[in-house]
Amino acid sequence: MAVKTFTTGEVLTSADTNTYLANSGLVYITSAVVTSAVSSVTIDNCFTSTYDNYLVIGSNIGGSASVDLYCQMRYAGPTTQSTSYYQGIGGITYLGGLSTPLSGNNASAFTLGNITSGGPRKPFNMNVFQTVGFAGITIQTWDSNAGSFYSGAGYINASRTYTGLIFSTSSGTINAGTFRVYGYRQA
Amino acid sequence: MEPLLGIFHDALTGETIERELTAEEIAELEAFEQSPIEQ
Repeated sequence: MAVKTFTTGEVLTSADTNTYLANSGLVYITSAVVTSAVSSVTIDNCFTSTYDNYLVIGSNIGGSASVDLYCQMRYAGPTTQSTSYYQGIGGITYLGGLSTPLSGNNASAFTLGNITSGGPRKPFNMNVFQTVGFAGITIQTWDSNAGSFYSGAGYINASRTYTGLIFSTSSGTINAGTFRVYGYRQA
Repeated sequence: MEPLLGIFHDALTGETIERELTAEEIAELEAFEQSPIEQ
């Protein structure tokens, strides 16, 4: 049972405490914080057999210039997966027009849109799905530079057990931000 | 030219280090930066 309602005066046993206090829907796994300029942020061993699905939250991400933020998956080694990324992420600008789509056809990374040194720092929520032999994502974010607001999905057409990820930029550096990884509790 | 730095965090050990990227890691970044997406 994933949820239990306690009643007034009921004895709270150690078994109930151990079970139900840990029964949160999202379980924090780890985080990486950027406080100075770096070219990449790597998080290894955050994806394990404990969970099938994960939530990655990026917040307050800033760059040295107007550059694209990329994400690649990592697997045993650890080795960076550098091919077979497919994605379709569409957006709408704050003026109501369509944004330039963030698409990928056997690309070398997922592209998550723009980060900047000024303007609002970039947030994103990215679900990571460890499906059988593949990894898929869904993402919502905004493009700091152009004022576009994105939503979409993608997957890697390469059969592996992915264990981590790496964020990097098209040029320049990531200057600020926090990347947190949570697991979706399964039972 | 300033060295390229990277943050490496291991969720298993909790260890985080910031270090210069190796030549191999820089090559990986440069490879996909040339053509990361097809639009």
